Amino acid sequence: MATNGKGETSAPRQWKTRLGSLLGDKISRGIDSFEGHIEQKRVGKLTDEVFAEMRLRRGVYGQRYDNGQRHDGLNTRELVFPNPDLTKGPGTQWDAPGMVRIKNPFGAMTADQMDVLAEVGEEYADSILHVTTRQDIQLHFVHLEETPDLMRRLGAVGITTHEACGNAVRNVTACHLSGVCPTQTFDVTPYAAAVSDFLLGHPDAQEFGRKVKPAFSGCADRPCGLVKMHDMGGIARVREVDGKEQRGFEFYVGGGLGAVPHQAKLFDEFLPEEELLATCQAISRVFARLGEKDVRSRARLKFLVAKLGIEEFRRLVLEDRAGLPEDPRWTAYLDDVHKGHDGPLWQIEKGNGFTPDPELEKWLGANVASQRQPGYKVVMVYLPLGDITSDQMRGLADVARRFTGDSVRMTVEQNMALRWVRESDLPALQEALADLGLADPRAETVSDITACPGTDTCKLGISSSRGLARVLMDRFNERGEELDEVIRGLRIKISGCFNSCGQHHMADIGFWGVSRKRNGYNVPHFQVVLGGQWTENAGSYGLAIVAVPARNIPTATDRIAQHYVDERQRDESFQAFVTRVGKASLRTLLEDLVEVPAYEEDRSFYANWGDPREFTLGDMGIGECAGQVVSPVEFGLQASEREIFEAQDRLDQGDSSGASDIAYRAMLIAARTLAREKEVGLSEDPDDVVSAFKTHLFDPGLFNDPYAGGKFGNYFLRAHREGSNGFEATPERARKRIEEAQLFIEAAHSYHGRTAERLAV
Amino acid sequence: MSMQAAAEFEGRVVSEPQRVGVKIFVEDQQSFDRSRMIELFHRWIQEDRLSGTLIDVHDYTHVPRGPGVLLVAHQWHLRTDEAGGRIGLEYELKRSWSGTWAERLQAAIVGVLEAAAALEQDTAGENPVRFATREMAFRFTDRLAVPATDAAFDEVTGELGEILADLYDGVPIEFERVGHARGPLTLHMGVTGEGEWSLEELIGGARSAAG
Repeated sequence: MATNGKGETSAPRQWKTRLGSLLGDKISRGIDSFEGHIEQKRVGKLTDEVFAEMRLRRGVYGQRYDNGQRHDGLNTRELVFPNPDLTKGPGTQWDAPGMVRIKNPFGAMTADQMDVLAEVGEEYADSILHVTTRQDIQLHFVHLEETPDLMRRLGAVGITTHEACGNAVRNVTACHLSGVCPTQTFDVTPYAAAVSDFLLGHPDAQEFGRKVKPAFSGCADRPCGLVKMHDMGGIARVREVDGKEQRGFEFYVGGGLGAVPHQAKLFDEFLPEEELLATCQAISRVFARLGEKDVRSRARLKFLVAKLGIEEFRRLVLEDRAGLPEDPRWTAYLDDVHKGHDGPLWQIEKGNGFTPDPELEKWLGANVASQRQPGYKVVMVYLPLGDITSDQMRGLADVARRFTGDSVRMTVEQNMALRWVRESDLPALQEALADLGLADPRAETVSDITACPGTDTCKLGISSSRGLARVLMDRFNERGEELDEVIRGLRIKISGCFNSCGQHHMADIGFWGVSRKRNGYNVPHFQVVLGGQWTENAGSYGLAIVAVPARNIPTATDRIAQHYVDERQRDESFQAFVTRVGKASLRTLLEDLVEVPAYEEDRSFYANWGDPREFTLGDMGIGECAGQVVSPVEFGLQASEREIFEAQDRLDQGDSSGASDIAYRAMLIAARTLAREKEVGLSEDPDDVVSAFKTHLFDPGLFNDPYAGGKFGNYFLRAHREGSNGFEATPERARKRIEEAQLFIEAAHSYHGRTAERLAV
Repeated sequence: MSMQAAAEFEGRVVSEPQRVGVKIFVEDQQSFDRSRMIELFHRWIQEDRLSGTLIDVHDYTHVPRGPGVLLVAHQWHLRTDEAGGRIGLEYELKRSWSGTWAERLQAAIVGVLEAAAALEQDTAGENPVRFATREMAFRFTDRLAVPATDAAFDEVTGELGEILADLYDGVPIEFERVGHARGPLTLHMGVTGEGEWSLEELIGGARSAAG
């Protein structure tokens, strides 16, 4: 029994009983079952590994410092939680707060759903709802025991966290303009919804080695859907058959970012709409059957497609499809696809216009676009770094009710789009948004930077992606009207590590976090990635040109942007500009910024942006090993990086074979640099280097990445094997080898950093 | 509207809230330097300046009217809150508190006052931060226990009134329900009678109320 302030007692209130009837049996049972698993884990009846997969499938993630340790800038401290012996996964403290990911298919939300999201955000998290690049919402600092109630409350308004994480079909994303876009072929919303519903919990989609991310786009050339960077996805197409229009999809499989990005392969030029779900099911079955299960780093669908080749993969899928028993759900939804997912709240009346003042004009220019339906607009709500408060979310729900007919979508650029806004309502809408602090006219400009959580909350973050993003945003915002229009149109994306959650490969200017040993200290750096293509559904990826200390990235960004302004040819895109001037000249532009001043000279280089703590994993102090000389290892690793740059340059010149050879040589130099510390006098013969690398570093596991294991070492060993077996260097394979060589060298830096720390201790 | 904050709880008493937020407002809103709080909160973790398991500092200064700079502890969150367009320090008990809810209220009040006192002390040199001591705001995000209803408002203010009488020596105070109609129960407290109190005096009063 519970007692109130007056000493009165009552039965404890529970969301379970309060919301039971709103949830439905299936959802209710799923959440009850998860709650049961939490209890089983608490009493030791489930292993860490099993429970971790269970909670991930329910969208419940770990978060930085959940191993119970944190470096406070001086020392590594133990975080004392109430149940120090309880864990919720390998090395993960039970009481440590974590992250919950909430699935929102194609980013759509109703006002009622927004209200509940606001409530759970302020009650269970930190009053911030974070919109992700895959149209999910993430809550941080959530406690495990509170997740079942959180799920119930979301479930009561039709939202789930089920399969938002784990080795499952993740959120199905789609262009946020779908249905109202002037250039769309047709509205892909009902198809994205159908795939999402059909595959959620589907028995054929439960045995994957890794996640599967689907996406849909209404047209080929716009960036909203980003189909080509997804595991599977479709771009809307129509064709005429017997005088009738038939809908279908240009369908792709095997794309993905991650450490080594893959462009998706064309599976079918025209996959008829009635075949969509059946084909997705067959793809899931083939992936579940043949995809890698043991080696996590090779387990994404992209690796299976690359291994089998797209022709064989397609043959296997079609063969499987042919044997599938008919499922009425495959086509049941098609009767409704022409109805439209949403529509206007208000009909257009005469005098649907207004005279804007200068302030409104600015907002209209940046944040408002015309729909295909005359008289209606899409209003973009700019969310800095994808963050919105619970109060703002509640207010935005009011705005949605008042102006839009309940039609809100999150975008892959971490903003929100209000659809079906009557043109005459724009001044009042802008005012309502301004009252909420949500009328900033910076949507989809250079200030609208995409960043993954990075070191703020992610366990894998190396450099502070959000810290850097904040600094860059402030600098662009300070320049205000003085900012050149050409710069205003650029896109910047930042990841805290090589895993690409910030989608840095697809930006005009991208960054990903790395660490470098300089002057005896770890120094946060970012690799600068230039020339990625955001349009054409993420049509091509950029390549890294040089690692720059985090502290110098704002200057590097200014220089690159200004160079573009000064040197670009008429109407030349940034991507075309980068290709024309070449990466060598751009690297030269940044050459002096690579230097790191001595610790005593400028300590700011030795910390992340927005975090005053010294960037080290331990309290290293300054010993003799931290003298001002550059060690032979640092020299060697820098030499290997220069080779990488040469390889990229060769690739740009169309010499795939030369590029591949140089990328391999870069790995060889890095491997020899490290192995020579163990084997003085090691020759330069590649076989000797490989043998020494295996003996001293790889086989004992010393080179293993704490998270990726032997993945990066294997890149080198495979490249060595391929070199002696007639490696055929296509441009794509050359690019991949360069990417792998880069990761191998990063791993070498990481190994060197770990070794130096051990010595210091 | 949200079915979960709806009037289905109308008339029910407040029951066992785990989460209680108390905000105290910064006096000089214009000169408050948010970025300075990042370094300061990190130092508080190093120095174990506040009681609890201090975990991390989170920078939300890019969010308009947001949580500003957030210090996360296992038991509570402390933020340089900008909700409603007024900067203050909000201390929110999140979990793991035993005792009656009156005791939790007292703990939250002591928590925010101690944090405010520490902040005043640590910024005493250049551009000192000072807090207004004649007003506070209270937020109850635990909707199941504290529905956002007039009945709950009456009950909460009754309870709070007794505690705050110890802080303000029985000088009259006034409560006003504020915030969004569908938001958590949020109220503003202002002292209407005469008197000035330092943070230390309020902390003493709150502790004696707790005792």
